[in-house]
Amino acid sequence: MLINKFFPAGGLPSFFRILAMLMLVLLLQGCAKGPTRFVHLSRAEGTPSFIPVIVQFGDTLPSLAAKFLGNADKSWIIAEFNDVKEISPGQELIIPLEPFDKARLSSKGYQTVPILTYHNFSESKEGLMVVRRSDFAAQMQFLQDNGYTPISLAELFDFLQYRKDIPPRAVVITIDDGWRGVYDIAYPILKKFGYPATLFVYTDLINGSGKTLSWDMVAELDKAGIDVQCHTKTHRNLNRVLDHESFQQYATEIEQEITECTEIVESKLHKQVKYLAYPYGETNKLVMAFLEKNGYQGAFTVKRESNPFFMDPYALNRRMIYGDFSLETFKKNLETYSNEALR
Amino acid sequence: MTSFLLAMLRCPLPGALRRSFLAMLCFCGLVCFLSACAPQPQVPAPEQELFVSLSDSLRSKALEYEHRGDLRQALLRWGILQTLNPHDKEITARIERLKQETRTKAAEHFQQGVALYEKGLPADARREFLYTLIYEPEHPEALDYLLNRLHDKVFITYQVQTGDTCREIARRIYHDPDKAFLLSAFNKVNSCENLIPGTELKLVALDQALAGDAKPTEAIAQPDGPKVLAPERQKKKEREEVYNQGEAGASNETPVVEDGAKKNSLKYEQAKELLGRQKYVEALRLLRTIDVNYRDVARIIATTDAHIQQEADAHYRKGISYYLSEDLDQAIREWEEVLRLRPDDLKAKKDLLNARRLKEKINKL
Repeated sequence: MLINKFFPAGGLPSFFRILAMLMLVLLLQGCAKGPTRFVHLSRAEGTPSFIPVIVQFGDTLPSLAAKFLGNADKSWIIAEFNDVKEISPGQELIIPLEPFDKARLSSKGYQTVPILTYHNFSESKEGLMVVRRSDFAAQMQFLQDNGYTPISLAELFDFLQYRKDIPPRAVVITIDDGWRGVYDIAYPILKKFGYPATLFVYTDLINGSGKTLSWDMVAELDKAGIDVQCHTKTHRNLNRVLDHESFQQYATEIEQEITECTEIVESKLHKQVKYLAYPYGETNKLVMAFLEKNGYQGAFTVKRESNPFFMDPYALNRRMIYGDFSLETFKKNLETYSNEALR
Repeated sequence: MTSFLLAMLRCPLPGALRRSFLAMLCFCGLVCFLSACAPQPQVPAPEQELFVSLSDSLRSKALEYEHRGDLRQALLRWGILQTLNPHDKEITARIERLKQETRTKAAEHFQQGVALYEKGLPADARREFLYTLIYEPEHPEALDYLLNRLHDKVFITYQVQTGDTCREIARRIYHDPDKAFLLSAFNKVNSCENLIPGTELKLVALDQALAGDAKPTEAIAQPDGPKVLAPERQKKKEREEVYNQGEAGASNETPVVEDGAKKNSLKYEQAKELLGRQKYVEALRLLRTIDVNYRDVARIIATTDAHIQQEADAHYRKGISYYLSEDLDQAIREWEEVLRLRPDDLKAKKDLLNARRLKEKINKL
């Protein structure tokens, strides 16, 4: 009989031995490690929501950030609040669930965000507006090695509207116009570092000639995390009335520069355009009024300063990065803290 | 425990005992398996025992922040400590004291900020509003000033007065009736000739260079702008200009803005003083040199200008009346007054010239 086969007289049958071993393994496994222990506490009025946790084997700052904050990239929030760089099992930590240091404002100063502006890139030829591949790669490496975190425009505007905390050394990377070097040189480097960036295109330039991007390339970049926004249609200076123009013609023309770029980018990329980089960095109140009227949320000049949270969103500063910049000069454009307005 | 279980499995036992042992082992294993897979139950109190070292480190951090004067970070940590230690009365008392202190300091800085804003000193006002947020991070009014009111206004609000037309409003605000199109560009205007009194219109607060009668200063000698794929050299040259402007701007922008704000404030006070002495023309002349989006300058310009127009009309009618009653001296005085109030009044100019000629002829006779 089958039972005799599994029940020899001299000891336990192999089937039950296997089953028993399995149970034993499961029992030991059950005792070995549970998930991170945490406590949900009733929240005192006016206190930001937080979770106290006890670090378990295998927990890391990114894994805790992924679990409690929904994004492993937000590990800096836990590190910063608890003033730690690494964690170990048994350690007790606070996971802040709400912003706890918006704008890093204290009597010593406040956070500022530098917005870097590039135009074109080349393998070896350097120019005022052309950055060499090796220089761009070195600059991105410098950001990584020195704790800078490139953020998107959406994150920047969360900061500007005093809504969320952003990483302590946050920077924004922008590229103007739509030259081919963006696709061939900048994009692979940005991809390697995993950095977000914004490309402001003037739509008349996007024709796929040898030196410029095509719409297919622009769409590919946008899909890959290089956020495409507007830089007008023809790149005319929006702050200058031409000799032959009446004031009314000027107003009509500059509104068209904005609306036509918006329509083209939106129809080609099926997305909403929210930001504009002023050609030559110049603007005036009439241009800003047209931007507001057409649903834009912000716009960028080229004034060489960083941005505190209380900047006018239609006059944000950007720092142009030129082809002849040394790393030392590049570093000078990365001011992330200031106390100027508190003096 | 493992060796005990293995020994039990190996040892020769009677069949029934073996089966019941196995059944027990399977049951225990199953329970353990299920308990390991089930979500970890939330750990009940006592939290104090669980987070003793965390509480200690929070306490020392809170004290450190307090010592440094960073009261909002201190308060945040005391708040967490209170949640972890709900029965600790010392923490509760400390929180109350800190809250009171931060509220008082925030209120003081906010009041000072508003006063400085009213005086037309935006940089000083900004500093006070930032200090308000240092003590009370979510102070809604301070945030409103910092994120909205301290920015240059792109639009001003104008309330339509009886008899206003788009051209008349453009003449008053921009000194150029041809800019009337801006009213319909930014407002739903059905008829520029029949504006409804009391309606509020959004007017672009044009930069001074664009608001005057003359062409904007930026307009000088700019050939048609760079078109598609403009020569790189031309572009480079223009960008170098931008770069240089950026560098220059970085060094002197703040003092210029601050200086401008002080001048606006001074002129504004002088203009109000002139209005108090009914010197409308002088006040209007001064008001037109102030940024149109400074405080309520746009509104005062509109009302002063309307008052001057009414006065000029009244003097003109009186001049006609004197002229018809052959009192040329009085007529001349009235029309001279019209031209003082409204220097570009063509009818008054013509009538004054006629009256003077007639008086000359009479004198010769």
